[in-house]
Amino acid sequence: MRRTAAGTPAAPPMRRTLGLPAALLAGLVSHALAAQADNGRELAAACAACHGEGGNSRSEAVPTLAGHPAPYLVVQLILFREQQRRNEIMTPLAKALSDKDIEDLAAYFAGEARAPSPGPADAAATASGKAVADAHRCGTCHLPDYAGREQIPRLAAQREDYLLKTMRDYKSGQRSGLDGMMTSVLHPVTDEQLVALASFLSRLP
Amino acid sequence: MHRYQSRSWTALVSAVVLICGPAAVAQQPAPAASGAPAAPPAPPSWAQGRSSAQDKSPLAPHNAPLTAKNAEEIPVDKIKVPDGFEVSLWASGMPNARSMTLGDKGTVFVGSRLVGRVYAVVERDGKREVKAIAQGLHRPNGVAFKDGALYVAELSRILRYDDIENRLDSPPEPKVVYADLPKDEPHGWKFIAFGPDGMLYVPVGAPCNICEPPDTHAQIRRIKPDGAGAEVVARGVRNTVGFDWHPQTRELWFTDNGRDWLTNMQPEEELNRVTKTGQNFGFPVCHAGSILDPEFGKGKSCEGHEPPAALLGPHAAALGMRFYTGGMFPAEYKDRIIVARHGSWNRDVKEGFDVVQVTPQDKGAPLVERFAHGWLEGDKFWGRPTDVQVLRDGSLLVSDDWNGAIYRISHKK
Repeated sequence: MRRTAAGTPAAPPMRRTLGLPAALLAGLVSHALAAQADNGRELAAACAACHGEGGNSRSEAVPTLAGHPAPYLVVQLILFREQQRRNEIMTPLAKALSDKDIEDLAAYFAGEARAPSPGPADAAATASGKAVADAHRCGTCHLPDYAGREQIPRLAAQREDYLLKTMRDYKSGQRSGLDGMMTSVLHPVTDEQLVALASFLSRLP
Repeated sequence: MHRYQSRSWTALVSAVVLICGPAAVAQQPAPAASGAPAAPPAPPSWAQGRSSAQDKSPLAPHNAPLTAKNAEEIPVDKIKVPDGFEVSLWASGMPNARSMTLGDKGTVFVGSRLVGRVYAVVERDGKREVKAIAQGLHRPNGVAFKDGALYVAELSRILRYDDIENRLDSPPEPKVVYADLPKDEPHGWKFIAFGPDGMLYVPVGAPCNICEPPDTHAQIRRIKPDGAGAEVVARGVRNTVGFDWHPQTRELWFTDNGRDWLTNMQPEEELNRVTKTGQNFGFPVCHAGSILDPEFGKGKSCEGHEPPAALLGPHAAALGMRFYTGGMFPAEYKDRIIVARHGSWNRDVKEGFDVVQVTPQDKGAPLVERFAHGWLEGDKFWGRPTDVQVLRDGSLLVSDDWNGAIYRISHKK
C-alpha cells in the first residue's frame, strides 16, 4: 500500500525531494519501516521550531502533531502542497516535499507521544463543552475518546487556541477540508459553544 | 543531489523559523471556499437522513487516498473481462484521477476531486506521458473539450483553457466562462460534457443526502460555450456524475445516485433518459421510480416524476457512463451504455466496484450485465472505477480514483 512520489507527475518544485536515493532504499527493503521513521525524524527536525520537540507545540495557535493518525497528517500536508489548504508558511514548505517524504513525516509524528493535557478545567466548563460535543456527536467520527482515526484528527490534548481557531475557520468556510463536512457540522454551533468545545477537548487525556 | 536538496530545505526552514510567530501563522482564506453555502444542513450531509436505529452504524464514506500507487503495485491482472477482451494498465501516477475527456489530437484530460489537479495524458514519440496541467483548483472534477479548448468544472466555476493541446507544457491562464453556481460542498463537484447541440451540460447536485433542495439545486442545466443562456434541462436529480447522449436518438442519458440510509436494498441507483426538456426525475419525493421518500414523499405520489430507464444497483454509486461508439468491440456492443460503478459505502454488503454494460431492449427494461470486475474481493476493495471513455481506436478507458490510474480494455481480434 505504500505510495511513493515515483509514480506522481510532479510539478517542478516537487522534484526537490529529500528522500534517500532510490537504489539505497531498494537495498533497505527489510528495514523499510526503520528507514521511514529515520527519514521522517530527519525531516521533522525542521518542524520543531514551530511545532515543538516531537511535534508537541508550544507556539501560540500552532498545532501539536504528535499522536495524530498518520493518514490525517498525510492528507493535510498534501492539501498544503496542492494549495487546497492555504497557509503562508506551510504551503511553501510542503511544496518541497514528495509523497514519500510526506508519508515518512506522518509516520514519525503519528508515532510520537502527545504531551499530557493540562487536565480538566472546572467542572462547569467541562460539562458545557462535553454537552456541545455530545449534542453534535463529534465522537462519531473523532471516536468517543477523541483519538481520531484514519483521515480524522485526534482532538484530545490538542492546543486549545489551535482548536478554537480551526473550528472558527471551518465554520466560516475559510477552511473546507476534503468535503466541507466540518463546515456543515459547525454551521449551527455558536462561537460561545466553540470556546466551550475547545476548552473541553484540549483538556482530555 | 541529496545534500543540495537538504540545503534548500534547510534554507526554507530557517527562513520560516525567523518568521514563526503568532502573527505570521494566520491562515489565508482559500479563495474558492469563500462565500456562504446555501443553508448547509446538519448533521454532516452523508450522515443526514439516518434513522435513530442507524445512529450507531459503522458505515461511512470511504476516504480516498490523495496519493497514487506505483504502476507495479496495481494488480491489473485481477480485473476480469468477458472472453475476447483484455485489460492493461494504461496510465498511473495521477492521484484521485476521475472524469475523462478526449482532445481533438488524442490527449486524454483527467479531472480530480480532492487534489485540485487536472492531468493530461499524451503520447509523444511512442511514449505515454502524464502531466499535471493545472493545480490548486477547487474540486476540478469535470472536464470537457470543444474547439481546441479544455473546459474544467470547479465546484462553482467553469474555466476554459484555450488551444490547450498546443500548450500542454505551458498551459494558458484559464478564463472563467460561468460562475453562477452554488458553493455548497456536498455533491458540489461536477461532471460536465458538451451535447450534440453544442451546449455545455452542467449539473448542480442536491446539497445534502436528503432534503428539499433550493430551486437552484438538484438539476442539470446547459449553457452556451461562452457561459450565456443557462437553461434547466432536468430537475429532481440528486447527484449525477456521468452522462452521455444516445448516438442515434441524441437523447441525454444520465446516472443518478440515490439517497443513503433507506435500507440495504433501497433505493437503487438510476439510469435516466431525458425525453423532454425540464422533466423531473423524482428527488426528493420519489426514488428509483417507485419508492416514496418516508419524509419528503409523505402524502405525495411518484406520478409526474420520470421513472428511470434502468436500475443500477443499491448504493452502488454509478458514476461515469458512455455509449459505446467505437469500432473495436464486437458488433453487439454498438450503442450499449458502459457504466463505472464506484462502489457502495452505505450498505452492509458492498455493491459495485465494477463496470457494467446496459443493453436497451425492444420491449421492457434494458438489460444490465457485468462487464469488468475484480476490484472487490470479498468485503475488501482495491480500486474504484470512476469514469469511462471510448478512445478513437475503439478501446475503452476506465479511470480509478483510488489508485490514481487508468486502465484500457481492448478486444482481441
